[in-house]
Amino acid sequence: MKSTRLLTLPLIALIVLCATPSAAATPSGPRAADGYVRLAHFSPDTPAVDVYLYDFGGEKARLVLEHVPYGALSPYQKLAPGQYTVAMRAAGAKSSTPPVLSTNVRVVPGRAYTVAGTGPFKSIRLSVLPDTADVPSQRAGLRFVAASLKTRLLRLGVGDGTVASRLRFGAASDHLVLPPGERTVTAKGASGESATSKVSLAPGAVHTVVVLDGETGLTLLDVRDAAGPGITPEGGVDTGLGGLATTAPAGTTATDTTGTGTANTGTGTGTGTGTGTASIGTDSPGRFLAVAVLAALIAGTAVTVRRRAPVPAAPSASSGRPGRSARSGRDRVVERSRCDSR
Amino acid sequence: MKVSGALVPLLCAWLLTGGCGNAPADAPAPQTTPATRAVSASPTAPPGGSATTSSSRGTTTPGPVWSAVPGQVAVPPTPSPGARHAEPALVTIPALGVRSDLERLTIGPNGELTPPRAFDRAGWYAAGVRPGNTGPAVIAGHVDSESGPAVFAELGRLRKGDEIHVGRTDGTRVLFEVDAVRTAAKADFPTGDVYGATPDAQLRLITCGGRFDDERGHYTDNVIVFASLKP
Repeated sequence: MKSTRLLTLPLIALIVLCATPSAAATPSGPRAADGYVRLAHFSPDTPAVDVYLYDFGGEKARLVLEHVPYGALSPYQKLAPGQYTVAMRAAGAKSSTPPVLSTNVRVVPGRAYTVAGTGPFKSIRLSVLPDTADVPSQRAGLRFVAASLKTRLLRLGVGDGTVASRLRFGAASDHLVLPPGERTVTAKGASGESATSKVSLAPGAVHTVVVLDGETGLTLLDVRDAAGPGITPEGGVDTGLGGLATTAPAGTTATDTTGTGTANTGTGTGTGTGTGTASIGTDSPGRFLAVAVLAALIAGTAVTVRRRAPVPAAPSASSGRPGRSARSGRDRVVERSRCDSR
Repeated sequence: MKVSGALVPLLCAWLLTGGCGNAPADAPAPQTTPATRAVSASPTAPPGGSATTSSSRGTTTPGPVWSAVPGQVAVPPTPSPGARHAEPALVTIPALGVRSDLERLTIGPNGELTPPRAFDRAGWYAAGVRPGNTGPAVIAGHVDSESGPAVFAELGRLRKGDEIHVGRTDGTRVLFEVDAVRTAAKADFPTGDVYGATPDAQLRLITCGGRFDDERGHYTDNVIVFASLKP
């Protein structure tokens, strides 16, 4: 009986996965925008690693970053939408050896992700952090990642205000919406460790501040994840007076394949990211990989299922970047009035 | 127990070989070199990775080490605000034979992007992103005047892979490549897609399309070209 039960979960995962074949993985029609993935090492007592990026199910690495030390964050890799696998090996380990960690990430058009080794060595995991945030016009976005072993809980401040009072080691905060400008960012640990840094927030920009172990106390890594126009224009542009209107629809003389409402694909469908994690174990490598893959699949499926439900009826906006125009699937942005001068 | 023990690895193998048809074997090839630069192991740590390992580096032994390394510290690089490029002055679209000087476009009274004043000249959104800098730079041009075609009359003919050149006031140039061409109703304009922050340098070209609304005196749709920096 036990064997039946053990089999059920993976089978359900498989069935669900197969029943929703290409939620966002394989858009058809006009090609949608790419997404972005970057790789990071945020586990303080884990040695340097080699990080591999594979197509899901692929054997040949698309990208290898060698000897990535604690605190390192790669540039973004532009990737076609779909499913990918990130694997970590000890620095210098052969690519044919089983990875110590692996996870899947589903890349949705136009969105960016950080796949980072997080937590302490003994329970390191690969976390998929969604980097994309919807920042209102004339505002900037900022979030924190806690990657210091010296303190389990962080109190984080921007200017005079506290924006997060208990960010756990290994976790990332939500994106905060802030007025642009040079802001003083503070991180304080439970036993008095602290670090302060000035972060220059341009309007339209999104930053990540990673709290790391420094030579003394903490240190802050400030990265600009994305940039946009400071002021976002509203609506479309009136760029025509009708001189061509009598003959043919303007602008699409040759084709109307991307007509309103049908342009691009996959509108409003799954925006889940596989967030499977796995701990380092002492299992035999083969079994470990099997378990890791299954765990990742199950976790990824759970996310897919959960996210599918609340997505509203597909908006017919001609958007190839699903959740963005609908604002349904984008990452939650927390507006903090105390940080907001508005 | 025995059954599941044998089956789980099999299922994994099936999945790994793309059993669900979900494997990206048919995924479109990425178009940027960074992504396709397969296995080109970067010899140095990535930017932002100037972390020093105070205890592990000195005791490097042959072969990979996989054990806890207490006391490692990170030394983050000082963030350098990337150089701001000069303003764009000229857009060239070889596939359409378009070559146009650029005027500066601003925000109008209703928050909208104002169209260029001239029909034969495109304009760039000057309070936005400069072409080549991170983020979506925007260039708009008329599709027609009251009497005939204007600078972006043929914009809808662009195809994925077509090139767009932007010349700057300092004589430098930057090259973009078309990712997609879409038509969107102005009433449901995809603001996030067009103007939303991006991790890399992007370009949007915008003109009008769709039906001409005689009452309003404008077209109902916008034709939007999405392009990204060609390395």
